[in-house]
Amino acid sequence: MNRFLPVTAAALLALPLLSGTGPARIGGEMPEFQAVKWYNTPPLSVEDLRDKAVFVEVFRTW
Amino acid sequence: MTDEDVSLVDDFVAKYKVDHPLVVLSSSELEELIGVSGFPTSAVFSKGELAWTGHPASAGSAIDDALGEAEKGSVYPKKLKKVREQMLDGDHADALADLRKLMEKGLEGRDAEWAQRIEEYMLATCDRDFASAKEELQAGLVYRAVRRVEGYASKDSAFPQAADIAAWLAEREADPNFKKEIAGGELYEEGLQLEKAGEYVDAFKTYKKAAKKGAGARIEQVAVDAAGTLVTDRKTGYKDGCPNCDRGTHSACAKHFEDLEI
Repeated sequence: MNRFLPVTAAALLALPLLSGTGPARIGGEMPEFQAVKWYNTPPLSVEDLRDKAVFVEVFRTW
Repeated sequence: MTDEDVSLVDDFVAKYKVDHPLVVLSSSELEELIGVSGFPTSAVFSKGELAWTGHPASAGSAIDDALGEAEKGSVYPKKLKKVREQMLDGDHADALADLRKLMEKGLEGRDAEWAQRIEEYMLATCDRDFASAKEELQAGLVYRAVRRVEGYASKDSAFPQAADIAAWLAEREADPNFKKEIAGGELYEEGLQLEKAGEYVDAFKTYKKAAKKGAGARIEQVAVDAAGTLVTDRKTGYKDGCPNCDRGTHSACAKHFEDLEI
């Protein structure tokens, strides 16, 4: 099952902004990752992931 | 961005042995697209576009649909699969040696591009891991610190920091309590996995064993504190499915709570 790449986005830095987050924009293009740090992989770009199925989980450590 | 925030994720990744790609973001663009209203929230992208969002447990059919449309093959080139596995297993020196052998033989196109990206990542990660290991040592987590960096320091390692790491490891091994730190630390990490799985009584017992194995070493207090926190938070005895146990905090109800002593 190599087509599936889970990416977990730990949105630790976006807390103050999240209160203003609106509904999901289905069909919207994946934005480039503005990353502070990547784990377990060299930094990935949208181009790397464009033709893959990508599962993203947004979580916090608490 | 602050260092403190990233250190929280560093700890999370080490504590729960996260081995899938994970990123700490500095902007909210992705969360705004997904429409994050709580945690955890998940999303499935297909052909570079948002196809689904919701709770991770409900993602099954959206993932199947996206897989049906996806290009076959991993993001990472097949030729580098072994190197990547070695890297994730902590066999860093072997991973770098094998990667450089492949590069010397001659890689082309996407393989060459990814080989360079992985090499840069490994070299940078070595620095970061050494820094994290020093912090873990300060926190009394000798086993975790040693395991984190020993893979960089094996004989013939090509990492520029290998000699420094080897010297640092030798200092740890010279500690008279080193064997206790390792034996207790290994059990402590098992306890963390049990705690993560919601097996709180078993986690408590494992922490208790860790404290016993590590008696007199720094891991003893770390394990005692972890066991004590489970009881203070009333997690020991929590029963999933019990209407009176708190599903949010995993604290046990009066009937199920086990007031264990260490």
